[in-house]
Amino acid sequence: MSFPTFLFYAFAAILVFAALRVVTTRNPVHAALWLVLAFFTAAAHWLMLRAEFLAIALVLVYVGAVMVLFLFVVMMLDVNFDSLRAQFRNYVPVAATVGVLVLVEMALVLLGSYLKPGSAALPAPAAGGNTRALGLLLYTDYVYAFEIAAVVLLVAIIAAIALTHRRRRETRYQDPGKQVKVRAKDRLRVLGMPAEKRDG
Amino acid sequence: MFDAALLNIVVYLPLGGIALLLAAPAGQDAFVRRLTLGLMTLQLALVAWLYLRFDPTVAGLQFETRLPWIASWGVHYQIGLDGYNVLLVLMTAFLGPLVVAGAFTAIRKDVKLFYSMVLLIQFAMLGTFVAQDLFLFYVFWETMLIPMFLMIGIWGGERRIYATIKFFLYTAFGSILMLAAVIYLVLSLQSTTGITSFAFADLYRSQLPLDVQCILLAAFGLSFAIKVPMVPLHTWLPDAHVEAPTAGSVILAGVLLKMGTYGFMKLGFPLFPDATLAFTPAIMFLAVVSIVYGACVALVQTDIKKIIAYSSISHLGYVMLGLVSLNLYGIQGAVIQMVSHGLTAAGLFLMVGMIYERCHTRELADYGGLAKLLPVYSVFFAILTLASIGLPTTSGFTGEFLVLLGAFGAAWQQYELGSTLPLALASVAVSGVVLGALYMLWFAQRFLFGAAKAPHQPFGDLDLRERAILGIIVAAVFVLGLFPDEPMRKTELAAKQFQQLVGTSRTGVRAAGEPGRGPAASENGAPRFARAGTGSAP
Amino acid sequence: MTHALLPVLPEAVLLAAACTVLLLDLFLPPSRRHWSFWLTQATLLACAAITVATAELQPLHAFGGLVVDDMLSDFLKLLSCVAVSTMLFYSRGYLAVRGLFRGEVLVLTMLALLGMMVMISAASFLTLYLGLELLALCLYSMVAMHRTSNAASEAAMKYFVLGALASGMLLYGMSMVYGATGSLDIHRIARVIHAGQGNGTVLLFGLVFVVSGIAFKLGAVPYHMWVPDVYHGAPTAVTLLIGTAPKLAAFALTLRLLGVALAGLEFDWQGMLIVLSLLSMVLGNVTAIAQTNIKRMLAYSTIANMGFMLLGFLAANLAGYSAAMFYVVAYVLTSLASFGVVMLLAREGFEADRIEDFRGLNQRSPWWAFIMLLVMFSLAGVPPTLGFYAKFAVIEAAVGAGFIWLAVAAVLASLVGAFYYLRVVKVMYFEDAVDTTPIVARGDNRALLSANGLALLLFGILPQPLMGLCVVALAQSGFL
Repeated sequence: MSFPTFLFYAFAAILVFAALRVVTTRNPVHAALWLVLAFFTAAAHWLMLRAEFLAIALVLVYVGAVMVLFLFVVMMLDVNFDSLRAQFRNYVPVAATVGVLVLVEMALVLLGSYLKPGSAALPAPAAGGNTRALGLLLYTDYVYAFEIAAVVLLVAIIAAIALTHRRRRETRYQDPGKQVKVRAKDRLRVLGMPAEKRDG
Repeated sequence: MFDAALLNIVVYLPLGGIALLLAAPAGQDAFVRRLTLGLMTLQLALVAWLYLRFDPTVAGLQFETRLPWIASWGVHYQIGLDGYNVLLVLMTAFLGPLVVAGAFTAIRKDVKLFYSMVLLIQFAMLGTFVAQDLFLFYVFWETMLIPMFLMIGIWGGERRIYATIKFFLYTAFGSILMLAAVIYLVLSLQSTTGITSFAFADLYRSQLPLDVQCILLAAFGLSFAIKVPMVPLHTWLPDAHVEAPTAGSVILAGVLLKMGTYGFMKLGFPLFPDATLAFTPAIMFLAVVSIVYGACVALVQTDIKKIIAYSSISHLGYVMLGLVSLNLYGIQGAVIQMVSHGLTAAGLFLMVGMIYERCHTRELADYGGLAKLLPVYSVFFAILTLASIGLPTTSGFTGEFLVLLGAFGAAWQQYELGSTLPLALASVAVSGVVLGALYMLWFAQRFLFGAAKAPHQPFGDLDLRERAILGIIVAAVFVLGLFPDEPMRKTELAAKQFQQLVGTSRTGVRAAGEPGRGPAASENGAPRFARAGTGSAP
Repeated sequence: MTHALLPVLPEAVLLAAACTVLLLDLFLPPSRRHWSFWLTQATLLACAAITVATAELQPLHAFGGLVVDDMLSDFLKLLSCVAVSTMLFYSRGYLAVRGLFRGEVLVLTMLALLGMMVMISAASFLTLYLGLELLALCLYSMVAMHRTSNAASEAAMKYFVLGALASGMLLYGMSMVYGATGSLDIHRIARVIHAGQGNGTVLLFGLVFVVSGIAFKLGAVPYHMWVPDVYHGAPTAVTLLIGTAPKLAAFALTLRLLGVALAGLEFDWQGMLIVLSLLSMVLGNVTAIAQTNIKRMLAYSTIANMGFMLLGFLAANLAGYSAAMFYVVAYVLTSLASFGVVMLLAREGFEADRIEDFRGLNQRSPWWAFIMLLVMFSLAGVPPTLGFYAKFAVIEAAVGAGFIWLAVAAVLASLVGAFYYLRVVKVMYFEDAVDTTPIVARGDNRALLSANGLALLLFGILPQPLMGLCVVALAQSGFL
């Protein structure tokens, strides 16, 4: 076994274990951390395939941004995950049966004819590096798809704001514009009252 | 050319009438009634003109219009008159004004909608009769359902919703299987001859193997037999008749039921001659069962509308019997019987409607001795009753007599070939005449004679409008009974054509039963058709 | 360069206009909200006009094969624009009453349309998938837009979770096909498969997932669970959107995936579609009978209708594809009118979504009862309405391809369907009105809905133009 093969199996084992822990651990924070580990090992696989841009993007975007945000949300919301899991357990037998069945079927078909030992040759790295090649492709051939992906993100933003942004009545907030514009007569009313006379 | 245009005008006149009705201001019920009556009368006049112009010496279509309609499917808009439909068209147009006039006082709810539905159904019925393209036929055939569904459902009696949904589902069930058969038939015509056409004339030339013919005839036949209705597919009819308003019953009995027998005559039998011959004993059996069963059940009914409804089942059994006899007497008798039943049943239902308007009950037990209370009514009723029984000089006699003559002719022929069943069946059918006389006379006796009683007295006898309606029907009944040769001449060539289309393979001229002439079979046994209709791409 | 962008000009205009409306709406006071509305309508009109103006007979590829501009896409895009525009006219009053007539709804509708257009003219798995996601994301959020409604939130959640699952399956299948053929371009995949290259087992696995994903998106049984809940829970305006134009896009998706890319595996997916089609027709129609809510009933009717569409599709020839396309177009037209009437009857605090809410409609308004009657008969497939020809076309295609028993099952299923459509007619015509509130609606809404209903009749009498267009569009796009 060559060293790269050893590395592949090692990373793969960690990846599978980490992915399993994501769904089996009780504490959501732990789950998020396990997911981080899964991302890291996946990135390592990409590195071994010489897709360094993807590997780094994965770490930067998913680990650096998405997971951090996710952790924030988990900590902020303080959702009781155990109560959510109670129902999950009810479905485990069915889900496991179906899952195992699908897995076995796929294994039977694929192992028989497809997964013959042997390895495909790695494509040669692009001249000037993968990053450059990706960039070139992304902004020329695939610019249309790139733009559509951007629109998908735009929709996500619009939808998120439209669904969550609301002006609650009970919220108290200050509007500096209004504060500046305010005039004395808006706040103060001078009433002329005749003096009262003490009468007998 | 002019006459062809006229036929189109006749068919579309009711649609124009609907547009006029919708444009009429609300609350103008009297105007709506008169307008509809005027239109129907105009239509009758035009049809009468066409009938007189119809040349009985010409075989095939007259006043034909043929225009491409759905080019992708090879569907044409093709209508015309021939010996098959000319009498039925005349009868439909004849009943139109009577139906309208008969409903003048009975319908007070949603008058505009009601007459629109009457016109729509008139349009669909005429269209079904004159259509010479199977697709067009099917479209008209199904279009009839909608107005009838609404008519029973909106203006019907107590259990109208049950009755109308039953009616719709029964008929829709039949026709939807026919749809599948139509598609198969057209595609197999295409794969054997290369012609994509729905025209009757082209479809008559299709040559299918016997087993396919049997299945297709079963699908077509189911649809038609439900409409006729033949026992055991008749159970929708009593409900629909009883719950429908008078006009609905008249249309149902007068014209709609003939759609079934017309369908057999124009499509079912000629399209699948070998299967027809194979099924003849079975059809004959069912026809005789319908005759006898209808008569027996009519005997024990207590609702006067139901008596007439079951008598319809019995009378239409004769029509079927005549058609399967496959000789000139039987076929022509069947056509006359169709028209005759259209007149008498329509008249009887109108009369039931008239008495119902006065007494608000259809229970026979509530009535008695009407001859004393309503003398004019009773005279008309007696005449129509006798016509229904088939007394000589009335139209019923001509029809039943010819049918039985034809049936016996065919039965003897079979007897000589060694089959006794047809003879036995024909003999049983004769007993239907006796049973018919029994239930109708017994009914008339209880209804018209004896101690005078009727709820909601006092009421007047028939007014001028009602007398006119019934007078016209009675006159027609006598005309058809006394002078049947004129209409029979108009249908003679068609009857011969029918006989030739259905009956010739008996003599071995036609070799349609040969295997391997149907659609090419693919490896899984089901035929795969080459597809045309792509020709519309430029 | 301008020429190269021409095929996506409608999409570009739509995106620019969506962003404009998004910004403009920020500065508009609620009383001027109709500016956004009319700007949106103008955009849709412009998109339709551009689509027609740039239509060419020959297919035009752009962006290195990511996009194809053929007659098929032009026709479907045009119809989508019309359908979305009609939907906005129908739902304006409904949304306004419920406080949902906001800029976001208009923008999301436009972006959903953008997603459909991308899907319709996609020639690569990449664009197909992106268009689908764009459409789906807009729809998820629009279902949830009515925040005070628990039903809407639940529907949105179900739609989102199941939709994401379906997207995942589709993507998984696509990646397998990519793995087997080495390409994302549908035409190149077709060539590879046709040449017998590519790993058969993996292709087949990919096919299974692709078909499952498509079935999910179409709502075919057994992937139909989301349809009734979403149709029922979503605001009717959004249900209308989900039930109409996206079906056109879903048809394009199915056609490009199965009819083009995986055409070489025809015999494999035919078998799967037979099962999907049969189950959908039977289960959809039978379950619809038990419904008391008209939106739910129409949801099951959609399931059944998608089964009919697949019936035509699985003939796998020009006749079948054009029949399926004609069916979808007919269905969209009918569906628009059906939900249009439901929304017409709705008012503040009243959804008019139970079948009994239609009681005595003929007394309240004979005209709208008549329109609904046409819709119901068209759905039931009774001539002379458009629905009949659609059903005829798909059944003919199925018989022509030799699936006779399936065609017989289809006609029987449609008879079952006739029963529950009739029930609506029964309620409208045969029962007395309980609710006698007058029906009020804007003039444009009334005119459009009337025209829509009458179109069902008109195209029923003269179906040839619509049917011919379907055949020509497909033939010119290379389906021969």
